[in-house]
Amino acid sequence: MKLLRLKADGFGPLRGEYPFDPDKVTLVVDRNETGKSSLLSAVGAALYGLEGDKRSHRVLTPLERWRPWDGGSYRVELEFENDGERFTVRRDFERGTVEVWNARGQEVTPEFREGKDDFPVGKKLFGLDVAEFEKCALVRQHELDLVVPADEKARRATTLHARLENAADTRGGDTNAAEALQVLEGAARKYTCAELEFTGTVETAIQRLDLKLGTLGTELNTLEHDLAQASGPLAELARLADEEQVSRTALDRLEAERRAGAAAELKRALAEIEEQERALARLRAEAEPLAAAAHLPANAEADLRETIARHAEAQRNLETLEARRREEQERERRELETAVESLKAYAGCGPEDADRLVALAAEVRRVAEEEGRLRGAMGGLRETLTAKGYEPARIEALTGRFDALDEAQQKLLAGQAQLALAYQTDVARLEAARTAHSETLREIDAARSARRLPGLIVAALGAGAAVAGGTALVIQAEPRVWAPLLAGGGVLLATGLALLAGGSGARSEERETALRGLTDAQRQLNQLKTRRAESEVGLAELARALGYRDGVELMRDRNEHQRLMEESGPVLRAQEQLSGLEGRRRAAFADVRAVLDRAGGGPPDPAHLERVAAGIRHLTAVRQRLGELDRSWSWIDDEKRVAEAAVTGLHERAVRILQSAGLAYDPEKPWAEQVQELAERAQGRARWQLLTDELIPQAERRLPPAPAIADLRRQLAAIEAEAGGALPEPPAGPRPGFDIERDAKRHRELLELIQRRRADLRVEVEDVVKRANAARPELLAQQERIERALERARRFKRAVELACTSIQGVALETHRRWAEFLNRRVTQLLETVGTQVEDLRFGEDLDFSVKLWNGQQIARGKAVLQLSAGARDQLWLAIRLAISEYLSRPGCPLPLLMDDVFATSDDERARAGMRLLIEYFARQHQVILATCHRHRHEKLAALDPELWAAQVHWLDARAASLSR
Amino acid sequence: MAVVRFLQVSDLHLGRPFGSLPAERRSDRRRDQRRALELAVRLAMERGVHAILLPGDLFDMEWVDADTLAFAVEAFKVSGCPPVFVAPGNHDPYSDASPTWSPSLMRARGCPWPEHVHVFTTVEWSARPLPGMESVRIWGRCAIAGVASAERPLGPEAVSHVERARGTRPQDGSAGADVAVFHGSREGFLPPGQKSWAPFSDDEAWRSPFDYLAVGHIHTAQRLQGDGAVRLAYAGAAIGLDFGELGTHGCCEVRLAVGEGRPGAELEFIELDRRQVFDIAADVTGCGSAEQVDRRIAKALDQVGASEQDLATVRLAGRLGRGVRYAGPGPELRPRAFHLRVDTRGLRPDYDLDALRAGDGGSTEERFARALLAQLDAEQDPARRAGIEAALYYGLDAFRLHEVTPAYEELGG
Repeated sequence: MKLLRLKADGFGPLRGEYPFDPDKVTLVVDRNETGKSSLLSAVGAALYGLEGDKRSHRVLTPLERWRPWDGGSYRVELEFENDGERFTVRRDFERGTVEVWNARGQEVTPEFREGKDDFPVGKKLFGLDVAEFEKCALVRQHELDLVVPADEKARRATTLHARLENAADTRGGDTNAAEALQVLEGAARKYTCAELEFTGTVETAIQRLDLKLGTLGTELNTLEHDLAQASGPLAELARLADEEQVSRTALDRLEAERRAGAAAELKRALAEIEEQERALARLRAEAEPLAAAAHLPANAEADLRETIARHAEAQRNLETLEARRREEQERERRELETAVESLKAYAGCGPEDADRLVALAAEVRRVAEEEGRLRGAMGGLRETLTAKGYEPARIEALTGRFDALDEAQQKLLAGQAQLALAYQTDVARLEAARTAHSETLREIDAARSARRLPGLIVAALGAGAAVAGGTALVIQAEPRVWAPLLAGGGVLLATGLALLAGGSGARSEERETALRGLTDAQRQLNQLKTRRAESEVGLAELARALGYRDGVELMRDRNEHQRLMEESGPVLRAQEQLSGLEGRRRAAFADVRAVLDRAGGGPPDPAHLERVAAGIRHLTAVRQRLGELDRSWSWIDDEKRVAEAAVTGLHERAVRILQSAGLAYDPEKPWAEQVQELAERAQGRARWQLLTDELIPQAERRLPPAPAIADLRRQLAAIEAEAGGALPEPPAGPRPGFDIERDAKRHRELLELIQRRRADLRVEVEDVVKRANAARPELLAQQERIERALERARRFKRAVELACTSIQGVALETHRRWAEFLNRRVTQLLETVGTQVEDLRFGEDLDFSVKLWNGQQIARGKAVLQLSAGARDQLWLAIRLAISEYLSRPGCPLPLLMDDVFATSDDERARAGMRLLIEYFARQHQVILATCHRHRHEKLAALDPELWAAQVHWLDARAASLSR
Repeated sequence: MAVVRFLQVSDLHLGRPFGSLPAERRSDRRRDQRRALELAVRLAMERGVHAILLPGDLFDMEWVDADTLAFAVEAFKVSGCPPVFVAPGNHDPYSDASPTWSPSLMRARGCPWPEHVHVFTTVEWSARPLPGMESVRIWGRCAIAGVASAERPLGPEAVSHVERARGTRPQDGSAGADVAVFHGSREGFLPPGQKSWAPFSDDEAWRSPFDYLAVGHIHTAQRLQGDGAVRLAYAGAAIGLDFGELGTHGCCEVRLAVGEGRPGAELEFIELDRRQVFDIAADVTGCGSAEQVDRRIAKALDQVGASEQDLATVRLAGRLGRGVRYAGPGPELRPRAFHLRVDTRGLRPDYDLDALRAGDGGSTEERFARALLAQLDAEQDPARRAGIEAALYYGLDAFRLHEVTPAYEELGG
């Protein structure tokens, strides 16, 4: 496999195209930090892509690491030759695309697919994944030294072993078997057991878990034992329950005995009470028939006798009253009939006529008084008018004249004064307006005349000039004579006419307004004068009709009439009132006459009218008295009714007295017999009184109260109910209560003792059960957790041990195969370069020993010290080459990409190393060496000019980048 | 034709420690148990059943504490509670010294069973007439303490005297019914890991002289039926007691038609446990963090409709991203269920074993993997296979991650 060209279009700091000579050592020269190391990584990236999985690269993924520093595109393109065929692989890391083309221009990308969307071109070509490729093909700066460190301490750390082992053990990862074993052993040493809150070796954890499990088992057994032990107290508890039952039975028996005694006592008491109740019932039975006389009053007999006597006396009083009423009534009737006869003239009148006459008498008196007062007042007023010179005749004449006028005439007279005033006012106003408008017109006309005058002059001049021009034309004068005259005359004529027209039309609107105002004022003046003339004509006609000489005289009389009417107003009103009074008098007299005609006539003076009214009222009273004569003696009826009521009441009382004694009143029997019966009843009442007041109460007092009896019965019923039925009488009579109480006390004490013991035992048992039930779930759960933890720890231990054993076994086998190959191949390579080392032997532990040219066999540690620097470099390069070959496909030598591997070597070592690469390794492998030490390599080239010129291809990375 | 109604409830396991639950959840679950019993008694009263049948394991152990015992006694003492027939099971077996069943000891402990609770106290079948329906007999047998029962309760000898007793009534069954209450294992239906107790076959059940058999011991409901009638049924545990007892849990109402012909039973299941038990698989392949795994689990819970009051086992499967360790549900996922148990045995690290197997064995790591893979392929024992697999992953962790942390002890499946 040969790399031919790399084109970096943005890869870290790298941008440019880098050709490689497949047959020479390519020496990429550049300053430090300018991209030579990146170039080697770009080759790897082109072949394998860049990983972007953050889970594998937590800090920085390769994809992020090589993003172009200057931004922009992120692409690489690599051209290479493999197995005689050329390929070009292009990767765009920004887009995540990859293309592979062959020399014939065919895309062969799918041939390199692995998995879903992975295209590890290098893996398809070399059979190596990216890590293996890096291990085989890439030799980074300082790595050569690290293979065999100069520092002794570092050497003691078996770096060679580690690195070889790395190469041998790992392909997909970067951990070798020894490291993996260390990790596993470390995990077994730092095992964390959460259940014990312990971190330590897994063996210790298992021991402690075992111990804990044992402890928990013991605790659980203890609980079970406690529970088993609780069976004894429980049996004791049951026995005590039986004993308690015996004691309770004995107590029940004593209780039954006590109850029987109490029941017998109660029954005896109740029997006595029943006997007393029977005696009481007998007394009540005797008293019951006598109860009818119970309400008979103690003095009923005397009351009856007295009532009968008073009844007889009341009947006598009643008869006396009747006789007296008849006599008095006859005498009064006669007197009233005489009075009616004397007043028979008023028989046709009623009380309302009397009232009417009285009212009319009052009316006649009021009218007379009012008339007198008004006539006096009117005389006074007339005297006052006369004193002022007014003649009543004049007033009446004027009044008669002007009151006879019709409405139009009255209006005409009334409007004279108003018309004259309006005429004076309006005429003055209209005259002023007419004068103002006339002045305005005059002023406008003057202004127009002033404007028209220049126009006339100019027009005249123009006309003159025109005429002169015309004349000259006519006379065929020179055109220069008549032409100016005609033209100038025309212009002047036109100007003059224009000025005339302007002057005639000036202030035309103002003039129109003034002219309209003047016309209106003149028209209104004319209307006023016409109306006044019509009024004067009407007034003159009316004056003539009323006999006046003219309107002025008429208006003077009218004004006088007006004044007189205002002065004589009160006299006229008094006359009107007098007329009203006369009317009222005539109406009253007509009414008086109508009444007096029915009362015997007479003058209509008020005194007579009042007398007649008194007579009518007296007659009415006499008639009423006569009508009420029977009723006036009703007091006698009242007294009679009282007497009758007394008779009836006394009779009823007597009957009630009899009824209250239980006797029925018999009207057929004489009162004496009924009084005798009542006397017999009074004796029965006395017996009843004795029974109810003394004998029965005494018997009742002897009986206990009803609640007490009921209580006794309840007690007996309760005792019987408690006993479940009637209690048998004790055969030998009840035992004394003291004996029973003593026995009961003894049994109660025993019962209390048993109960106390039972309570203690129950608490003891329940405590054990409760404790066991409370602790056991947690212990069981803990036991389960510990068992699980123990099982986990054991499984972990077994798994880790199995993993360690397996890794050790596999690693040993791997190392053995490696050792065999390295022994053979490294020796071959070293023979080729003619090194001091004759033979090399790797062991299964990947450590080695060397056999020097002098036959001396020395271990690795000594060899590293004894070999020269150049020999060491040859050795390490040979080992690395051997590793590369081991890991690469047979017949497909890998290129070696080296990053300043001699940077820390001295010049001699660097020269030897370069010679080894150029002369020997480059024959089989393409070698690309990147360095920043240009001058040093130029010196090396100068030392071996032919070799370098023939076998080294210088590539200036910076120039390549710039050339792009 | 009359219908006899029973409420069959069993395997309450009162007093169970619930050690598989975290400490803070155990008391909640014990409360759930008590609530289930109270609810069962209330339902029995509301539905007017003639009796409650309790075929064993009312208690989780012989020595339950006084509080639990008193609770059970009080639960049946409630006014209106129908007669209760209890056949003690293997967890709460009967003996004369049983602190839960012996009448004298119960009296001594201060909480005797009420009169209407009848406990069958013999291994042989014994009968009690159903109060109010004397023609219906309730037959029962009990488990005995300290004796592993391999005896077949429905074997011909065991039921011969029942046959004779049955012969005393008309063969058409019109005069009544014989109902069995006992604790036993139906052969072929016992869940793995559960101890067999008083086994019987379906054939024995069909041949038995009982018209209906109420059985306890198996914690998931199941029944044996034919010709439209149920002959035998397990009501299952009243509440889910373990993560293996999936689905809903409760009791069942048995309606036994007694009259013409052989009595036939029909069942109605009634849920008593408000929590369900789920077993869910979640593929977490490609998860790059523990949070992502939690999210996958939450999604799996959503898909099966598990609520925050349910119990769930989530079986993780697939390959986690390199270096991802999953120790258990995070704080956001934990409240998503009453209790969440995560089974990581199906989890594998993201190593391409096929690539290692197909490689050329050029490196120690590859050769190590191939060696262990060869061992794995040759091994049949699951436990040993798990050990080899763990060793393989630990080795690869050491090679590739430079770090080995205990993580593969639960591998399996």
